Parts: sequence; C-alpha cells; structure tokens
Amino acid sequence: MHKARILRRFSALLIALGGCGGGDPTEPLIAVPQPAGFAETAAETAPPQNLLTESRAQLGKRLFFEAQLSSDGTVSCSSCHQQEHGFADPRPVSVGVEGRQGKRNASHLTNLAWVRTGLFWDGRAATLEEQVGMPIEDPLEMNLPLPTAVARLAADPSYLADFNLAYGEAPTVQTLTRALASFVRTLVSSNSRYDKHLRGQEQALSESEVSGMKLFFSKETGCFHCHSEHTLSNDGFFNNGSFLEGGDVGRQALTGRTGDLGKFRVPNLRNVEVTAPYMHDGSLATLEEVVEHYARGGRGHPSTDTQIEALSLSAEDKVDLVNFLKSLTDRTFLSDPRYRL
Amino acid sequence: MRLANPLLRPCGAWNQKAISLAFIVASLFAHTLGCSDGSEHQGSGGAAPGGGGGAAGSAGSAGGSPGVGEDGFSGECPEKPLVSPEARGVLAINAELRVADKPLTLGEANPLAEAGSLLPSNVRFYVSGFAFKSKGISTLGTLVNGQGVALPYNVQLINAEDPSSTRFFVAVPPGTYDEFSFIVGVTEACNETPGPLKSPLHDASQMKWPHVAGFLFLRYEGQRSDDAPQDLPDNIHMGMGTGADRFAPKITIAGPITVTGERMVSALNLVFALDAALKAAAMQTDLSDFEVPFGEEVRAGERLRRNAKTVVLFSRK
Repeated sequence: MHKARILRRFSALLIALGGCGGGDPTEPLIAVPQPAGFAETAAETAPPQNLLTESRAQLGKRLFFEAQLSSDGTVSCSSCHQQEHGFADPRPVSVGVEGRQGKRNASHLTNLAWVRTGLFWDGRAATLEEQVGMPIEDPLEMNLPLPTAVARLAADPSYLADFNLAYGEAPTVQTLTRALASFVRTLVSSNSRYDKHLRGQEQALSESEVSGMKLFFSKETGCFHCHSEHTLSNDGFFNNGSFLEGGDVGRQALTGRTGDLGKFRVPNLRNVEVTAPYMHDGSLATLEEVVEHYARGGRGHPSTDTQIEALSLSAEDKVDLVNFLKSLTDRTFLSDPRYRL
Repeated sequence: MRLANPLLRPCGAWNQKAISLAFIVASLFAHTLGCSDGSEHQGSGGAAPGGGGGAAGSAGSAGGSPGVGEDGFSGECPEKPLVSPEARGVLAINAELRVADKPLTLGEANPLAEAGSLLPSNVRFYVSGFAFKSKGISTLGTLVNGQGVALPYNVQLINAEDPSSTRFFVAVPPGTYDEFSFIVGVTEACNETPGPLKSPLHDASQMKWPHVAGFLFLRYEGQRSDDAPQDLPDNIHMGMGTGADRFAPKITIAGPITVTGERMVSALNLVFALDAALKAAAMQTDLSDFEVPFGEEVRAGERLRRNAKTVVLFSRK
C-alpha cells in the first residue's frame, strides 16, 4: 500500500509536469473521516481510474444538486436523497419526473464507499460509478439518457471548466458518473454516539442504549447476523421477512435463483433514526414498527431466511433496541455544510 | 466553487516528450519497488525475505521468527505474509462444492442421496494453514494470487456465490509430498487479532463475530425440503470451540502430490461435500462443555467442528 501511494504521488507529479490532466489527479487525494472499525479510508476504496480528489468531489456535489440531469429539469439526485434524512427519501417510494412513482424506497447514501457486493436493493450495480448513472436514465426517476445529460453539461462553460479541472477533459458519460461517485464516496458518517462508543468513550451511550446494543448483538435477537458490529451491514443479501407473495422479488430478478426470492441488500444502519420509512418498499413507518416486524418473525412467507424467527422481547427490550438504533444518528453528518452547495 | 490549480497546463509537443521520459523513469522506479519485497514468484529471482521453509512471517520483521500459537501455527497474523524464496512451486487448487456428489447449485434445490433436497443460500468457509509433508517433514505453504503475491493473512475465503474464490494457489518448495493438510478456518492468531482487518477478514465477509475478536470458520444457511432428513440443520455457524482442542478442524489429503517449480503450476481438484458437513453438524455430540451466548446455528457449528474427522468433508478428485 505504501509503495502504491508512492507511485501515485510520483505519477501525479509526472502528470503535473507534463501538463496533460488525463486520468491521474493533479491534486492531493482528499482526506475523509474513517469510521471506527473500518480498515480503509474512503479514499482508499476509490478505483485507480477515479482517485478521489477535491475537485472531483466538488464537481460531483454540484452534479448531485443539478436538476438539468433530469428530462424536465425538475429532479436532481438531491430531490430523493436528502441530507437531513441521511441522504434517503422520507417518502415510501420516490417521485421522479412528471410525478412518476418509483418502485422502491430510495436507499440512504451513507458510507457506500466500502460496499463491494453490489449497490441498490438488489445489488445490480457493481460499483458506485456504475450505480450513479442508473437513476439518471431510469424512466421513473430522472428519465434522461446519459449522452443527453453530457451534452447539456458541455453546453455550460462553467461545467466545462469544472470537468477540465477535475478530469482534464470536457464532460463525458464516464467523467459524469465518476464525479458523482466521487461525491458519494465522501458521504461518510462516523460521529454518532455509537461511533464514539466504538472509539472508547464509555459515557457516549445511555444505559438504555447499552442494553439495546447488547440485545442487538445477542443470540436473543440475532441482528448481528446481518448488521455487523462496525459497518452495521455485512453487505449481504437476505430475505428478512419483508417479502409478500406477488411482491417485489428483489435479487431474484437479477440472479434468477429460486433461493434469492425476496432477498434485498442489508442496509447499514447509521442514521437509521432519520431514514424512515423502512424496508425496500418503505412499508414500515417507524423504528418501533421495524422492531415489531422482527419480533413477529417477519411476514411469514416460506422464503424468509431461516435465521428470522419470532423473538421473545419485553416492552422494555423493544424500547432499548429502538434507543440503540437512535444512537446511530450522526448529527454532524446530517448538518455538515460541506455537503450543500 | 472551483479550486485554482497552478500546476495545470495545456498539452503541447514539449510536454509529450517530457511525459515519455517521465514514464520511462517511472517504469524503472516501479520495477525497483516491485522487486524489493520478494513477493514475485514465477522464477523472477526476487529478493529473499527472512524465514525459511515457506513459513508465513511477520511483515516488517524480515529476520525474526514469530512465536508459535497453541494451534501449532504462527503466533502472528500478518496482513502481508512473506513468501519464502524456496517456495518456487505453485499448487493450483480447484475446490468443487458438491452435494451428494453433484455440483452444488446455490439458491436451488440440490438432491440429497437419502431423500429430499437442500436449498443452500449461503455457503462460505475459510481455508488456511496449508502444510505439505514429505518423509515426516512438514513445510508450510503460502496462499498467493496469480502473480505470486501472498494473500492477506494467508487466508482464502471460499464463497459459493463467488466462483472465482474456489480456485486458489499455494506456494511451496517444489517436490513430491506424501500428503498435505489445511485447516477449515483461520489460525488462532488470526482469530484473535483485533480489527479492523482487511478482506477477507472484514465485516463484509459475513464471517465476523460481534464484539469479540474472532471469526466464523464456516457459514452455511439454507433450507431442507420437507422430505429431507429433518435432523439436518438449516444453519451452521462454525467457529472456534472451547477447551484445549478448540481450533479449526484440520483436513489431511493423502498424496502423492507433486509440485513442480519454476514457472510451472501443478493442479489439484479438491471436493467439498456439503452434505457431509450437514451430517457432521447433526451427529449426536456431547456439548455440555460448550456454553456460548449464541444460538442453535452455533451449536450445529460446534458439532461439525468436533465431528469433522469422522466424515469425508474434503477429498481429492
């Protein structure tokens, strides 16, 4: 890793001397907070062809708020991914151009830099660079072919300058998606009370939150089978009992496997307090409903993962669990002005 | 808001020559860096790291020898193991996951020999601790990638959802061996190394225990059909046990196994029988000394761990 850094710095210096911006960045790689328990920084997760730089992230942020990336000029990424909601959508399903209704609840965008197993609820996008372009083209969302989006950006001298600064060239489909991915890569939440607890601050959690945490990571609930200790998601795909017959088949639509019926990606739970409603279909309005869902053992479809079973939880247990989930809220992240224009 | 970048210049002819020269220099620089850690394998003549016998050493301590854990393996779990210069042979192992001697199909019904079927939805396990024995002398191997670079922590995660994970390479001194062995899981040192660790010992491996250092060694989740033997578990989470004999189960494969050297790759097909694993996990076993705060899937895992030697989990094809 150390040698790779040396090579990158050296290459950046060469490119700077040569003056051809090309693929390598000409600025220092930016620092983004690294949550406790994460082995890599967000910048280290960036692919070699899209190393994370300030200008790329800034350009990506500008694009994130750009409604001209939708067919009717009314919808931007930020329309459905709202910072105060952890970059999730407070509606059960999102609303795209011309009031078109989406099919699934818009996921939050927190800490996606570390996801390696596929993005979206069904994992159909292998990388952030691949994922960010899909809502732009989705007819139910922004409904704009990427080449058209590029043409619009290229007609704007200020975008030409920003793209040249970030990537050394005029906008292309590649650099458009890379810039957006760069911005999403910087959306890192690492300062919740739970994060402080992980960093050793014993007083960070209340007594109820500690009880809820212990319950969360216990065999009594088994939440940890999917929501791991640090990342709060094991990045897997499971049927958590939210599937109903005739409903969204989830990952099965991608893989065709019988066993993938009703499987959806395990979301990480940071800021879950503000990312309501919950589940792939936004069918659960509150955290209390989520706890009840698991306490019942899901909705009872035979495809439900066998690890999902009815739980014996007291009223106090349920309160403690909800309080623990609320301790995952990072107010700093939700109000960070660097994520706004 | 745009950042000023005084280093940016438009491209020109003189810049092209500068770039050409610069890349030549960069290439020489990169070659020097690449050869300095001794990790290249295919007869490249890389610099020799410390340690002998192919033992995984501690990164950054080229001359020292690590302690030995209670499990007989190195007392350290380096993120970047060293590959011994003698380990010029490469054994490519193709692991075939099977149910009732037929290729396992993830997410679909797999017929069992007795009756019924299994629908496995999650099958993954670690392998590590490769050792090759000849005339009573054991030599440790090092898991490497296709370029001869040691795998992180000397561990491979085999995941039925990732076909590429079932083919892996072990670097070892060339020779003909009477047998080789490995463990299904990780060494004690790796199991006790606090995080955060990188792939394949990270949260997304789905093998991480909560709140304590340690990993699942094998994770199976699935469903059995109604007409399948009902004592077979739906879930098996096997990790370290308790007591003196608590470590990852060791598998021995009889030879002879010939590993040639110098740019040649020897191949071996290894079959993993999932149905045998389930049978081992269902056997009547005294677990009175196994008190852990986890559920039935963990008890099934402990039965598997204790009974692994009584079934044919792995065989050579």
